[in-house]
Amino acid sequence: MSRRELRPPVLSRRVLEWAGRRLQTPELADDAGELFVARAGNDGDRAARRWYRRQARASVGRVLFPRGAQIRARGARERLRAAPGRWRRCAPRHTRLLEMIIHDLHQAQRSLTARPGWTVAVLLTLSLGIGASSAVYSVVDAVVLRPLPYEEPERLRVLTGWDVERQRELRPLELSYPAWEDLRHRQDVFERLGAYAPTWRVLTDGVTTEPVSAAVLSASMLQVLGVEPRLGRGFAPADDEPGAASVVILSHGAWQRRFAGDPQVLGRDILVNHEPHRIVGVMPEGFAFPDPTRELWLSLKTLPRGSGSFLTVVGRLAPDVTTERAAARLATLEIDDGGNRRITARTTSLQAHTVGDVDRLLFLLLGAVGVVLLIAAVNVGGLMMSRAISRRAEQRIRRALGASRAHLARAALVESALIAAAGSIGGLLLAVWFTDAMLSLRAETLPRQGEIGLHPRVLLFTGLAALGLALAAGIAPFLDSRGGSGGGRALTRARGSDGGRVSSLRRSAPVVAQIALTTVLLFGAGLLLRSLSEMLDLARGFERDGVVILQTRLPQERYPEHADKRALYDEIEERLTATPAVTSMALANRQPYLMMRVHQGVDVERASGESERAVVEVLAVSAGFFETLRVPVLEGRPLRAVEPQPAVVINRTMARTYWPEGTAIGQRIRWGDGLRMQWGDAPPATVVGIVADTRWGDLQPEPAPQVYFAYDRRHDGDMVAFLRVQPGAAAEAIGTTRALLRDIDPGIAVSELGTLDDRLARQIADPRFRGALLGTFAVMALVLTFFGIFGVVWYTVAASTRELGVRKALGAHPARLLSTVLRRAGGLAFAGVILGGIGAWWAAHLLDAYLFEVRPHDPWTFCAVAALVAATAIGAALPPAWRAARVDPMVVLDDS
Amino acid sequence: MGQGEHLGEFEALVLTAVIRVGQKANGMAVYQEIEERSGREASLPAIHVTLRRLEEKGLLASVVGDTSPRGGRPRRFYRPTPAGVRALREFRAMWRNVWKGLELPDPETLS
Repeated sequence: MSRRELRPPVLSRRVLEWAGRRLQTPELADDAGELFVARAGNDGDRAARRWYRRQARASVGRVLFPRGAQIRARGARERLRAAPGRWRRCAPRHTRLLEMIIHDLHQAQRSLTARPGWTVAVLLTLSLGIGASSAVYSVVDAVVLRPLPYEEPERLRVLTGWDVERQRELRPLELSYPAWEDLRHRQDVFERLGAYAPTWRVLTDGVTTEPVSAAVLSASMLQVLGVEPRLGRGFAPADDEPGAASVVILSHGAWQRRFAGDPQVLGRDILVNHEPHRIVGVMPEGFAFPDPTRELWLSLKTLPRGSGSFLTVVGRLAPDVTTERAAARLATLEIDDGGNRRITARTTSLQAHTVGDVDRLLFLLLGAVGVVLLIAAVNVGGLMMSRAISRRAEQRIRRALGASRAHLARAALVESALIAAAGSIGGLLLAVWFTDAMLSLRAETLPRQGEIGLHPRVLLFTGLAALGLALAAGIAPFLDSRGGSGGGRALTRARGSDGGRVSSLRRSAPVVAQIALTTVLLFGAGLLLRSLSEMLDLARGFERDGVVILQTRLPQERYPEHADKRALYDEIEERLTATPAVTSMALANRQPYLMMRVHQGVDVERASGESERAVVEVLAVSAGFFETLRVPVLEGRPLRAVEPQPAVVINRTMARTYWPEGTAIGQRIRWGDGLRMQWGDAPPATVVGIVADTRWGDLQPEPAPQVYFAYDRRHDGDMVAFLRVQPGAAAEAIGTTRALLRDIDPGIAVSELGTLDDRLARQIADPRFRGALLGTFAVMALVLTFFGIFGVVWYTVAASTRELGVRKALGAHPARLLSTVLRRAGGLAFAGVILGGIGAWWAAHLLDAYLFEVRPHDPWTFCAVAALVAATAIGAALPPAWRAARVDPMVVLDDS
Repeated sequence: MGQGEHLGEFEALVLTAVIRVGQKANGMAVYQEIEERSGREASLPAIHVTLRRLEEKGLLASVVGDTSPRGGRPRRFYRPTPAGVRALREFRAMWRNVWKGLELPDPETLS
């Protein structure tokens, strides 16, 4: 053994020198060196080196944990406290494991708080990914995945009619009353059949009268579902008979809200459609059949028994009958519904019937949110990886000091578990908030929404998502810690100049993937949002702002004639316009945005004396209609309250279609046959004005020809009032109106009272829900990608600081360095957008059903998305590029 | 324990070693002494820290010697103070009392 080899490991020597300074024991390193030589003489070189490293490691412990003994003692005390009343003992091995974990956690916490920026980025990414996906999963789980809350729900089938001769489904899908009666007695594959029909009623309780959502149930329906009332009884077969007493079952919500959960409510009478009904039962909480809006259930006796009544028939399969056998049997069983058509029945599961086609949309959203989760995972993995690379030197020192690979891996896993735990707590909080936000967007049309919540399965999903992310995140540094076995090189590498060694593919592939996925999401969201804006665009033509819509259900016996109704509305108008909030009021015979176009025929008189049939949208409006809704009068005049001659106003499309040359003013229009049947014969009306096009019945791109006639002239029963209110006074006007109606007649039920904007919002709730959700996910993805690009480019710049400094020292212009970095980011963005474009092209057809006036491969949307992604990439790369341009060559050269 | 100074086990070990080594008691010599007597590998940093602490407690005194033959910085040599010797006597007396007439049970009989 030559003298040359008898030198202690250099790294450990430096550690000992450092520890000696910190511990104020300056001779530490010298003494250790001397002992090392002595040991090498006795035990050999290798043993001496090992001994030396152990001493260095011990010195690090001395410096880092001066109070280590106390911490251990505290830990032990706490463990001892855990078993009262028995012989306390600490199992030595267990103690050590716990100690190690406490130590690891302590260390993880310190290393996380040491880099607050990095930690916040990781936690935000995790929380967003976990939160959004848990929220969507909780909806999908409740609506689609979880079985219906009935007894053996998989055996419940809904029966729909099938036209044998035409080989197609019957319209409507429900079965008529005679068909239900016939089927009930002749079928032999169901244990029992039940039937229901959704309906609504006017409920009077004390002072107010309001419309409520209800359903008619056959006596057997609850038994088919296997649900018992919480209080009282269900319907009995006797209740279905025509002469039976009127009975009603309350929902749990109605019982709580209207009767304050009074247990004595059974046997009391309530006024349903102004007739007393006896309360015989209260359903348990969560019973939402056929949907959660129902507040009461009525017996079958309230339904007329003719072929004009339709029921949805639900059956529970007999124990030994399979779905296939039932279908085969029903296909041969012709139903006698009193008509002359040949009808059989087909079945679908009650689950599919309840959920409808929402499941497609929800799975689409789940896919979108899965992409967000994937991006989050890639981001966290990337962040972990870049941190692991920047911590290489530290890992090498720890390896050099004798930390085993298992120890380092354990420390890394503890650290990522800590992050994952914090991230999933943040994610759960976000999920709660996000679920609420989703439900508020689509409060009315989502089936089974009462069941949505943080179900254990959702928590399991969150846990699995977090675990997956933690493992992905933990594995990255673990893989990397293999690299650090050579202790001798560690310190020279500790300055972080090994960026060039890291495969650039390994760092850029995740970024390209992120950009591609984000492009796909943004493209989808862009298509949906464009559809939505097209729809909103079409909903113009009149000014929605500051308009309140009012529709009532009047008790028929008190307002039998049109004149009575008209007198009532006159009184309402007079008293409302006297209040400061309401400036004017107008009436029409139909609500807007019912999403159906009511076409009626009119005959346009020609100069030749012939007439031409025109199919138009006919509206009956009061005199102030155009003024109240601010529909511009383009030519002529609006309708007056009193017209000496029959007069109509038409819209521009009508005028252009039927009088392309010359003016339509003064021309005459006659009712077609349908209108004459409805309203009786009438003399021809003269066109007195032309107004701008509006979209009234639906939101189709091409405007319908419209004819407005004066409300007074004829009527078709219903009336809808429009109130023009002072700016910002909508809420006040609504309150005033409600109070006024109660004052005039408490028997009036208000079926609609709200702003026109709300009305439209409700009508487009579905497209808005889709657009808002996919849009939110796309923005999340974009934000995550921004940070992903930022992190990678920042790290690349940091790692190549030395190279940049050298280049600058050799005369490279800052602008050149800036453009080098930006070009790199631009390249990543380009690759990502191209890949994403291919993905988007393929995925666009999934959205086909939800698009309105936008083609799935809309080039403008695609260009906008590509530009946005590219701008984001450049924007994210700009700060690190700026830093690259400003590298000070002196610092770099000094450093080396 | 005049000033209420209470010796820990490791402190007593280091103090004893300083006395045994005598005149040439520096950190390295103390280390070798302890390792030899206890048969266990000791921690050199722990010994240095303890030496410094004992000095701070007034139980040891130290002096910087001549430049060592190894060519590094000069060595620091330690000797016990009267208080140090007293503390060690107390420690010995306490442990003699503790052990007097004590029969240790067979560990195998304790489950």
